[in-house]
Amino acid sequence: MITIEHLKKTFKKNKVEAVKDVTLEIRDGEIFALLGPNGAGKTTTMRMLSTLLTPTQGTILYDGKPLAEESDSIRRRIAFLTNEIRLDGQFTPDELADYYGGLYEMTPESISANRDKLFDYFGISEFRDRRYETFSTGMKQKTSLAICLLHDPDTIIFDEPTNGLDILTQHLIEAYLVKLKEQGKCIILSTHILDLVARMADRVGIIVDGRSVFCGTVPELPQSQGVSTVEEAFIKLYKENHEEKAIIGRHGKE
Amino acid sequence: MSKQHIRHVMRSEWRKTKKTPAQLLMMLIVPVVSVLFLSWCMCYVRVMVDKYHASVYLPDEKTADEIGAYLDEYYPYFDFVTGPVEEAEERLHEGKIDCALVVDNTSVRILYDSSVLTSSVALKDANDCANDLVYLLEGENYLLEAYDLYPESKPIDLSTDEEKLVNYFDQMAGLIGMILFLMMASNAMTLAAKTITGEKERQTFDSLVLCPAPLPKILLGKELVLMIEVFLSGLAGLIAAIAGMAIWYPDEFAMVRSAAGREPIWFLVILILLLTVTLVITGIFSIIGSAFAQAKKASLFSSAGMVLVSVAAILPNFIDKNLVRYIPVANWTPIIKHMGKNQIDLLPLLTALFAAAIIAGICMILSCGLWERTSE
Repeated sequence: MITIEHLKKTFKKNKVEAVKDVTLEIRDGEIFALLGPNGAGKTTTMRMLSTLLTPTQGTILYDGKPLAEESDSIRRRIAFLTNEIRLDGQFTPDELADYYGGLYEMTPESISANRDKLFDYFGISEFRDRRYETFSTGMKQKTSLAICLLHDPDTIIFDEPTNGLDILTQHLIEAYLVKLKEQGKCIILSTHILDLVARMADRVGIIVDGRSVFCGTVPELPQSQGVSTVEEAFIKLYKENHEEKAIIGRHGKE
Repeated sequence: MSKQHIRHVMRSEWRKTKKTPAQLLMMLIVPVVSVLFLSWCMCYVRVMVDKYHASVYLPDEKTADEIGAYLDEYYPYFDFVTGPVEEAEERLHEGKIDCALVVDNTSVRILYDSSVLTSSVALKDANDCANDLVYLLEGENYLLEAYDLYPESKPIDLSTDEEKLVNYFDQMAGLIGMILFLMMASNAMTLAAKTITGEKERQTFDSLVLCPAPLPKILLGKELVLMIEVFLSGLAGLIAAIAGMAIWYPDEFAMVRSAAGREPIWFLVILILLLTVTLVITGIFSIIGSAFAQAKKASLFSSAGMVLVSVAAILPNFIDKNLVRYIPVANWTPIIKHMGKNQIDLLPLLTALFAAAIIAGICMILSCGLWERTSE
């Protein structure tokens, strides 16, 4: 289980407060969707969860262990995938598996077994000797996914996992995420595709302007807002929290 | 500190290098071509210098005045003087003149010191002048006191083998050292921008940060491969320098070959020099490479870094020449000259190597911090 409490991130360089106050709880064996409009702070939260960024304030606990103190051991248990992360284009999928498997201190035997399983599932096997840079977007995404799952992580953090992919690749990836969930793994998705949330997620967290404004199951979301769909609930929450800020701004001016 | 990650990264980086044979080839070919071209240029520059200073030593002042008045027009770089042969030899050794014609009762000898000679034109003119002198001094009733002269067919080289070698090293070591330094630095700049800065530019850096392998170990693996590549490019240039010597300076090459056979420590000296330069260069470019997220910016600062290192390496030359022996980064002349004289002193070399290792170590520690910090 992952517990996030009053998370805050301010970038020193441009003094932007990307995340102001995020509190969430993510359980094992569930697909958790992190929803929010563009610029709400989803990616920054995901990057903090994956150890790529250090929070300015607040705590992240993985099974009760603080991420700040146990980052090395926690890194062995998590996988993070985003469109922004690329793999070395000169390497073939086989070489990438060998490279990253080695960095995760995997034995050659376990690298070989996990690689073959993942490559077969994602249809990479026949391209395993081709350079990554020559692949299409979808094939690159599938290879990245296979490589980041190579070390068999407990927690999988995906930032916009199916963004820009064709429908077949989307289905393939979504099916695999469900399979991982059934294995008891925790999957955190960051997305603004509400349909994906409704179809796949067990629980949802909503971030507006760097603050978490909702955390609960998918059915609870419309109920809590007194509306009938996830989309309506999301828009309502967004307007309430975004407008509140605008009103404060006006009062501040006065 | 577990070496498993470092070895793993080194293997992968080397694999990447092998996947770009064009870059590997350029890394080795550019120093080779540059050094060979420099050797060729130096050979011809030396031959083609047409301004020189020469003296004709005549037996008495009267003859000197008369001959001088007649030949001055044809040999503007010659002066006509009187004096003992020892004076001519001394001036030759000191490099005040390129060659001397010494006339006595029986001969006209052309003397020169190949270790200080800057122009082969001087020798050609000296030969013509010797023939004219014989004609003038012995010719029909030109002078009542006729001599029984003949010109020596071959100019006499006063320099010893050791002086020739020291002169060669004096001319070439500084230039070849500088060219090798620039080539190695330029390769280090390109490779550091590609392997270290490139991770951020290609957006592959995050995937490394996510690994449980410590980032300093990953960086160290990359820096060690960078170091090997830079060393290899320097070694290729050095082999080219030896080849250039064999082609265009066969006499000096023969001397070096026999001296190196007698003194195998020469190889150790060269190895230490190359290693010292490699350590300093790799350290500096690792810092620059890890401080930036864009290769373009890193290259810009690398150029400034290269100038800074060159100046830092050459500056002591103007303060204390002895000090330069301890800083053999861009100026190898003092050490190579001592080597030519068989006066190898390993203390300054080992001190320099030790200092370079410390500099490289500090740079690597700093670069780890910078590489991590720029990730946010």
